[in-house]
Amino acid sequence: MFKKVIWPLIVVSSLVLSIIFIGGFATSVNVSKSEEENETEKSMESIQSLPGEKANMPTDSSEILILGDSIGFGIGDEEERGIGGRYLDLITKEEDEEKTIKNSSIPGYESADLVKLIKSGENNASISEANLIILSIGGNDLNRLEYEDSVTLTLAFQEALTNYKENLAIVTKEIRAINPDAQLAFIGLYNPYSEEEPEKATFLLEWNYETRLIVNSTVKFAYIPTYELFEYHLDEYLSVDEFHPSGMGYQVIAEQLNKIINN
Amino acid sequence: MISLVQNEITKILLKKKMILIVLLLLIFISLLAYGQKYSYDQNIQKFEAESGGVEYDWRSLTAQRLDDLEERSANEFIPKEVRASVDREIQQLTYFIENDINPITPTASKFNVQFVEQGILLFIPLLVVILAADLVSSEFSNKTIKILLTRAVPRRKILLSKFIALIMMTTILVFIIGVLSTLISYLFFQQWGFSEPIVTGFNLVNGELNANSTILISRFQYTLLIYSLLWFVSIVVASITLLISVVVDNSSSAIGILMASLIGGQFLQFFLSEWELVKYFFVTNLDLTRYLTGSYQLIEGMSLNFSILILSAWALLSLIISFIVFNRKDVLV
Repeated sequence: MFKKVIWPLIVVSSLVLSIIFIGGFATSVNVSKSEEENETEKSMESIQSLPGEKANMPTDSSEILILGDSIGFGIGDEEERGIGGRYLDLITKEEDEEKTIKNSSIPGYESADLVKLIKSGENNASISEANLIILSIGGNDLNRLEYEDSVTLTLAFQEALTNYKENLAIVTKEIRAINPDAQLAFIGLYNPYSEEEPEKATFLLEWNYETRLIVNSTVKFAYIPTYELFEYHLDEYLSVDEFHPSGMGYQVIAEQLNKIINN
Repeated sequence: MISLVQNEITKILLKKKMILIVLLLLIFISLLAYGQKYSYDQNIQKFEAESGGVEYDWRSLTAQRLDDLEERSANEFIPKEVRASVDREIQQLTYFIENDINPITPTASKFNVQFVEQGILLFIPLLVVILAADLVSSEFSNKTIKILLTRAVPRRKILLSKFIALIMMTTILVFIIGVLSTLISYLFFQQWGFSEPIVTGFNLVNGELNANSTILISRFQYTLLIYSLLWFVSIVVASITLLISVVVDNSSSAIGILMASLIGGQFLQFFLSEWELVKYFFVTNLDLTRYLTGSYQLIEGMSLNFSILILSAWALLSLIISFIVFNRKDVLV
């Protein structure tokens, strides 16, 4: 029984199976080989691009420029440091490198105002020097709609959104024309009135989504989401006016910014 | 030589290890397949309860996802690599819709791969260990080594015949695992799903998943690839087991040592993933399947080729050492 049936069965089947497995094994190694080639190409690219970035950082004056509205300005922060100051603390801890901040934000600014400001050319020098430009705009465009009634709200929102998108595109283009290398970061909007009217949140989400489309289609332009960060922490992260972020709120945004652009 | 191998195979078969292993496999595969079927049914029920009695309609969900993806692919701003992976997912989903297959149903071909993915680190190596651990050491503990060595055959031939027999049995074991997991899960799921397309060939570049090199192959080919990797891993484990079996002349401590190193290796991987040396340990490299599935890697700088190299080095080294040790070993029984 053993010699006649089982033994030949075992020999033949193990031989055939071994051949199949070796074949499959070779294929999977091949599959990964094509990957490996890609990998080396990729890593070479990244090696080439890395020194460029590194070289930029110390030679340029390592400026941080903040453009935009009250959130960029830092209203609500008890220590009056805002996103820029807090972000600077985070990175100087890590790099021991001195950076300077210029805050050109003006509270109450809407996107159209920002376009005017940039077109006026008064910030051209700081834009061209900056290594990191933090943009915070749109909150006031959207907040104006607070006073619309529910009938006209949708229409007004669409109009505001279209204008805002145009303005944001212009701002991006202008900044890029002056400084093509700087890292840009856009501070997304959070919802300061979460529980009251959940249906209004959809407007905000659409707004953020459209912003994101513009931001992410530009090179070196990071979108910093804040909606999720603030959603369940409004008590801690909003200042006493229940609209602007508190010190903690700014800290969280700064940490998010650091996490997204520096890792 | 052939008769020696034949002799060793007879010994392995007489020990009825294979029956024990098949029983273990039967129990575990049935349990896992039943569990998957159960949780799938639960999920469908939950979905129906949540959506207010609407019957679960995968077609509309898949079509919706497909629309989403097509819209994304049409967007000219997305990078080329992202589009490539989106297009591949579109191809995959289109296949599901055209062939009227629900993409999330459990199928036999999905199950057999999952079984390997889950088992390749511990369960399947343990089965190999059960098969191999007493190959040499039991000769010592049963004192049959005397009879074996008094034959006019060089010692290395005896060990070689044991090793060949072990490889043959391991090959058959891998096949049995594949057949059992496919057949049993088919009984539960009633679907083969071998022609479904699947995306593979991911790799990590600078810690990010790179979908650049992905390719679309059928489930059947994929299963074959995964089982080939499993076969390689099993042979490596078998070689290391052989070494332990030669060095230790007690089968139970041989099994103990191997179990300890398999389980301890998992701990190493988790707690010391920063430590450079960990990636040269064989347990860390056992999970070859994750290179095909593109799942998360604990340690950077590891690739399929790297792992295969490390594993081969381990296997070769243990074979060399076991031959040297076996040749010189004093037989005092």
